[in-house]
Order: sequence, then structure tokens, then C-alpha cells
Amino acid sequence: MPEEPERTPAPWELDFPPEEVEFVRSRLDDPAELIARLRREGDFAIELARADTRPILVSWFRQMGIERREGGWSHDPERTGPIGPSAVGVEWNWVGKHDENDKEGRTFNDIAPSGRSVTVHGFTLMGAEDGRFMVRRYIDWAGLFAQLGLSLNWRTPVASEPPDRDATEDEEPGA
Amino acid sequence: MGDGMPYHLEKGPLLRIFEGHLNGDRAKLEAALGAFETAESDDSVEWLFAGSPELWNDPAFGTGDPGDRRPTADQMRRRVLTEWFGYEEDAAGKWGPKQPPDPTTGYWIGYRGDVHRIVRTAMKWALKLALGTGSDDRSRQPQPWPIELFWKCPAPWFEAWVVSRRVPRTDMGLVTVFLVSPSHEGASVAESPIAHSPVATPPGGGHPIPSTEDDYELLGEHPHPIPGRPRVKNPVDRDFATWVVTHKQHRIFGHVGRGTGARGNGAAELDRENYTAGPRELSDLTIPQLARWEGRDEIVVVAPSMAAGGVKHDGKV
Repeated sequence: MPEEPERTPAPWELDFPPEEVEFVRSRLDDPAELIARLRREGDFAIELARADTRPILVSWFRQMGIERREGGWSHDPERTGPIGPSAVGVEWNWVGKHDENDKEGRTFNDIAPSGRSVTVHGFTLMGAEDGRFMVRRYIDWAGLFAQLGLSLNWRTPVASEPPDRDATEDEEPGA
Repeated sequence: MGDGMPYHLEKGPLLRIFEGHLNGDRAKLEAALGAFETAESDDSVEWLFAGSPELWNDPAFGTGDPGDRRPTADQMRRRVLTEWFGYEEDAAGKWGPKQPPDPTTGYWIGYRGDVHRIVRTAMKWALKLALGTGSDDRSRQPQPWPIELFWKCPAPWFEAWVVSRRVPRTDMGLVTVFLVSPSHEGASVAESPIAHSPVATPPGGGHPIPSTEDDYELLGEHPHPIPGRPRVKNPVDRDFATWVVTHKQHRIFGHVGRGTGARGNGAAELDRENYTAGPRELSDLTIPQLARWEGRDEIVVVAPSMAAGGVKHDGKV
């Protein structure tokens, strides 16, 4: 029998308690039991939300304390727990510095490291969608971009045709 | 500053009027430089009134009569003072920074800075370069170098660039001032450089758009898009011209972000851009790129109309 090629673990698996990885992996396509446990065991939900985001965040921003705040990933227990009949939410934040990552040499979107301190605010909603375990991450991207000094250009792209012509072209055929 | 700014770079009628009154013989530029130096020592905006005495009497400005849609000189000057510099007029008619200052300057979005002093310093330096002030050979030249002005928008903050160069094998050179600004309230930009409208400001207001007014031209398109209107001049024979070279059209497109290894133009990818929250698989976390633009169709060479920020072939307003 030929050997199965070794599977490359997903980033979350490397940041999750090894003894629990298989439990989660085996239930991604049939997540009722996984979700029930996440709703029942708050620490388990926090671990999974952390494993889902932390490996990515640490590749963007060096984990570093700023202004007497401890660096890294943390959650807010006041806004963490079961939501609705079949989901669980974790509010979290990441504290670090937009500095060159010492391991991989990567930084946020490959933009030049600014040395700026950043706090990424996010809320992860975990549940089943179309029968599969999925996450929705509501991340304050605009706040993060502002901390990095990035700005929008605030010039609305518009058609070069006069407005009445726009309306005609936008109409559905036969409308 | 024309009837709006549908392109990223502009000269337009107001900067062309400024150029017309800024340039001239040595005595004229020296007088203008004196006005800037006085304004600098007084820390005033008086140069805008005294730098070129005939500027605000230019017949290109509107008369204020009913039926004359052109802005008057006073309206345009007030717009420069309030919208660009963020200044206000006191009871004695003296202009100065708004007190208390607004969170942002003038009508610029997301920016606070001393636009007036930037412009004043840049213009004074441009005049010195045009006159060759301090130069051993150029300071005695009867004719100063011409100065031209452009406005580039947007940028995160306000800058003025003063670019000078000699013209080889002549005694002359050129000084170009680029006023680089943040975006401003109500700003838009046309997704295509091609004009379909007879006017840059369509009736009823709305955003400015490219227009077929004087002296718009899409290079290579004959006859002129306006029936019966002759081509103003062979493009290479224009005395003045600004040409934008870009795709004929620009559209938003979506593709999967960096690090996923997949790219495409499909609706699913666009959905990812439009709704960054998900739903996603574990570890599928990418950085929103905001709108991504794709240049489509052929590359075109277009001279915008003066009303849309271009310049007439003869430099007139």
C-alpha cells in the first residue's frame, strides 16, 4: 500500500491543543457536536477563536506590549459566549507592533514596517452554515488601517456619462 | 479649478488665469516676488490680492450678471481662501486662519495643515527660480523662465512641488508647480477619460464629468465627436496641451487576496471583497484590499476640455 502523503496542517491546528485538533477536524462537515461543545465550554470556544486568528495576526504584527498593555491575543469575557440557538461568539483583540516579523520576514500586506503600535479589535462568530462549520470575523479593519496611517482617497469613482444616461444604462432590459 | 475635477490632474481655467498673470517680463515677476516677500514678513495672505494686480480683473471671470454662469473673481478668491486655506474674514475684512480651528482645514477631507503657507512658500520659491534670483548668470537675464501650475488630487496630505529645468541649447527653462492635495468634499473622479457630455457640469448639478467643451480631443478619433465642430488644431501643433494616457474604462474587480494562491474575476471573489466578515473556513483570514480597479479596453490619449481641467490649445481662457 502506498503511503498517504503527509497533510500540511492548517495554521489553526498549529495553535490549538494537539489533543483537540482531531475532534474539531472530524466535525467540520457535521458540526452539531462541535458547536454544542463550544457553547458549553467557554474556554474551548476561546481557544478555537484564538487559534483561528492568532497565527495570521502574528505573521502581520509582531507580538509586543504597548503602553503598559500586554502584547498578543486576548479575549473579553464580558462579550464572549453562546449567541442565539446555535452559535457562539468571542470578542478579542490583538496587541502588537507593525514591525518586520522576525521569523518569516513578513508584515501586514507586505507594506513597509512602520513601527506603529496596533490593536486589532475583532469579534468571531462560530456556527454552522449550510451544514458546515464556518466562522464570521467582524474585524475593525478601518480602525486598523487608521492606526497604520493608511487613508482612503475619498474620490468617488463615477461614470463619465451625464447622470440621465447613467440611469438609462442601469435599467434592466425590459424594465 | 474648473467646473469640478473629473480627472486626477488639472490645470483648468483658474490656474490658467493665474499662470497668465503670473508670467511676464522680469519687472512683473519681481513685483510679484516682492508681494510674496511682504506677505511672508507680514504673515498675511495679501499676496493673493496684490501679487498680480490685474489678476482679479481678468475678463474670464463672470460679471455677476443674471445669465452669466461663470463664477466672479470675488467668488473664486473667496473659494481659494475658505476652501483651500481654511481662512475666514474678520469684521475688518482681514483674512486669517479660522478661530478656533476646525478639525480639518478648509474643504479637505482627513487633513489639517497650513495650506496657505505651503502655497505661499512654493510660489515665492517658483518666482525666485523663474527669475534666477541669486544666480550669477541668470539674475541679469531680461526674460524670466515661465511658470506653470497643476493641481494633483488626491494625496494623504498637502504638498507643493516646484520643479525646474533648463531647456538645453537655450537660455530658457521652465518652472512647474504641482499643488498636490488631499481629496475634498464632494470630490469624484470619472472612471473613463472619454467625454460624452457637452458640459463638465451637467444641468441640475451633480458631479463633474469629462466634457467635449474646448479643447477636448480623443487622439485618433476623427471627425470630432461634436458634429460640425472642426478639430481645433493638429494635436502636435498645440501651443498648450495636457494629455491623459490611460485605459478607456476602469471597473472594480475582485480577486482572492494575497497568500491564497488563487486569483480570478468571479462573483465569489468580489463577494469576499464586499463582505469581509465571511462566512469563512478556519484560518481563511485575508486583508481587505478595498476596491480593486482594473483598466479595461484600449489605451487612449485624451486632452480634457478646459472646463474639465484641461487647457485650451492656445492657452486662452
